[in-house]
Amino acid sequence: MRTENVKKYFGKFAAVDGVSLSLKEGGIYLLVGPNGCGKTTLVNCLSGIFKPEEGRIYYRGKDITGWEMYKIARLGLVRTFQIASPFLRLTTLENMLVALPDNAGENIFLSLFKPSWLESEISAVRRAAELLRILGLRHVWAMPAKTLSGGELKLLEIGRALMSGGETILLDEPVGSIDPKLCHQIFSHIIRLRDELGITFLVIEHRLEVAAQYADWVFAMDRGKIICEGTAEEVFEDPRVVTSYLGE
Amino acid sequence: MIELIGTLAGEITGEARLIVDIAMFFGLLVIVAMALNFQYGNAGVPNMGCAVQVIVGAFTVSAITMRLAFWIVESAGIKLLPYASDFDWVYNNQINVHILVNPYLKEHPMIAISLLLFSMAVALVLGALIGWLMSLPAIKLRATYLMIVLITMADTSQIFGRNMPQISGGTLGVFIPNVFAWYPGDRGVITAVITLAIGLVAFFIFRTMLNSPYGRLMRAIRENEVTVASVGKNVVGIRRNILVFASGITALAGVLNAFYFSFVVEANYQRAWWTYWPWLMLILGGPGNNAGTFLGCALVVAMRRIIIYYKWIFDQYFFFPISYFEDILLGTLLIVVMIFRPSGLIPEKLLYIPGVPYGRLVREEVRVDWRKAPRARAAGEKPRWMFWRR
Ligand SMILES: Nc1ncnc2c1ncn2[C@@H]1O[C@H](COP(=O)(O)OP(=O)(O)OP(=O)(O)O)[C@@H](O)[C@H]1O
Ligand SMILES: [Mg+2]
Repeated sequence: MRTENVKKYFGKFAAVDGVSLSLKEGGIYLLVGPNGCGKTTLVNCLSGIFKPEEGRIYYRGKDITGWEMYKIARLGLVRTFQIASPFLRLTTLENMLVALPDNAGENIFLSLFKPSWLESEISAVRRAAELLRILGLRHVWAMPAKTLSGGELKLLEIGRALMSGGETILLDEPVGSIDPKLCHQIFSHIIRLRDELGITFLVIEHRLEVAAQYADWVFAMDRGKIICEGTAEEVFEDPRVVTSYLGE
Repeated sequence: MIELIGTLAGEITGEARLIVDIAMFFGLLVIVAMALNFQYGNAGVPNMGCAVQVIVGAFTVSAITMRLAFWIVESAGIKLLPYASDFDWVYNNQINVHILVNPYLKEHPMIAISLLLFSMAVALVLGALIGWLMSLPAIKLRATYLMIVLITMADTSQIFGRNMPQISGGTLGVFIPNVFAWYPGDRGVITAVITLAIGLVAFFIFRTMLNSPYGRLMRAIRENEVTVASVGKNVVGIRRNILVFASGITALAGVLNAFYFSFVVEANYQRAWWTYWPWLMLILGGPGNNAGTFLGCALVVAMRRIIIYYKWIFDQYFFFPISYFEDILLGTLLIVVMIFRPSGLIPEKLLYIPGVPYGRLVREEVRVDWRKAPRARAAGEKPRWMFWRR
């Protein structure tokens, strides 16, 4: 994935001000920056919620600038939301199942013939159950999402992104309110996904003590611009990053 | 003439008539309300224009079935009065239908039944078509704006009917062929039975769809459409399919209503009747589950029919004509429900798809490789056997 000079304005204010970055397949990228520097807005542009005013976004050689969100997601570029947005009145399991691409039963006509979708539904449930087990959500599988805790909702966000079969996954503060032990578990799964399936991750995260050690490459952002990129050590020693983000 | 018009041999009266009436209107409105529940209660598509689809059903009978019936009768060698011009269409209508066509249909039950089936098939298609047309400008709008656009469409279609006599006789209305002329008993009874049967079929169709992954997807769209789009589902397309499908079913109610009265006039298809009342039923019963829709529908229909039927009793206790009370009733009921039972009499339950052993599947300790996710497809590329999807 590659972006060229992406700009997004809210009125006169440039929330994303000329971001160019490129992600290689099978990497874990970390995007850091102070609050309000435009990280989420950038992800919104990449995933098609916003149409950038300027610049181009390429994914797998296709120019996806301004595409509709679902088309981008079908290409394999999926994202999670910083503010968890589950289907509140659906159960945890159903939240996961909805994310599955190409479920035969989601066809308006095939839905009338149960035998045509029962098989795929069962294998979908197995997969969702396994993911829930990995994420430590299996005991709440039957609870409506509105009763889950904040951390559980964040886990559900990750689960949904993984369930959707994305190949480049944009995680917006995935471990924001998750305990350290589970954080490390989740990142080790992310590492395994990268190694075994070549999935690319772009992770926005403030908790550097957790995230930095897993990142292959770090982008530091400030006031809508990428101010610095490199390996974790390089970036966190850069004076500009230190002043803007880490403090004196 | 009176004898000729009265094909209702063995007409029922009194309380029996009230019951047939309630059954008939329950059947009609439950079709509309179930379709609404399908659209709004489950998928969050606020179809405030369901009167349009009912009108399309009725106009199908008056404009298309009637001409087909005339053509059949003329081919059989019966000479009809002229009906080509606007004027003739309306003023010769009564004689054409009652004196010339209905006796023929009485002799030929198969033709009559075919006409009924034909009307329903055409209404299904036209209703779906109108749903699709409505979706074009409207479906991308957010709920509130979508509602407003759809309400106006209902009025617009009524205006068409009023001003184009060729459709349904303008303000005067037209009689339509009695496809139950062959039935010896009361037409109301057989229409009610058929309507209830169709309502039952519609119920099973809707229920099967809602109890499937498709229904789950619909509820997901209702809950959070952005999230659904973020996992690669075409929300606009799905909502359009839902509107189109439900519109087709709703149009059936228009056909049956027309045959019940054997008469179509545009004024019978006001949005209050065919949009607001079904919505009230849905809200009262509880959106999101068919049981609630049934209950809401039964309560409201029974109440309204009883008020109309015993109007003379109620009139003694009210200082205004009771017929005006209906609209007040609608408003009052809606407010009361919204205040005291915002989720309706029967709130939506968490629904698992019956017949899929979710609990067992989740608990079993079979390790599957969840990562064998199907590789994301290129946009626009569809699996071969799902060519009609999205
Ligand atoms: N829809 C919007 N309309 C107007 N301004 C917006 C909108 N969305 C974001 N902004 C502004 O753009 C700026 C960047 O917001 P953004 O959400 O991208 O920050 P962020 O880097 O994700 O911050 P955080 O770390 O707190 O999540 C903020 O100043 C915000 O006020
Ligand atoms: Mg953010």
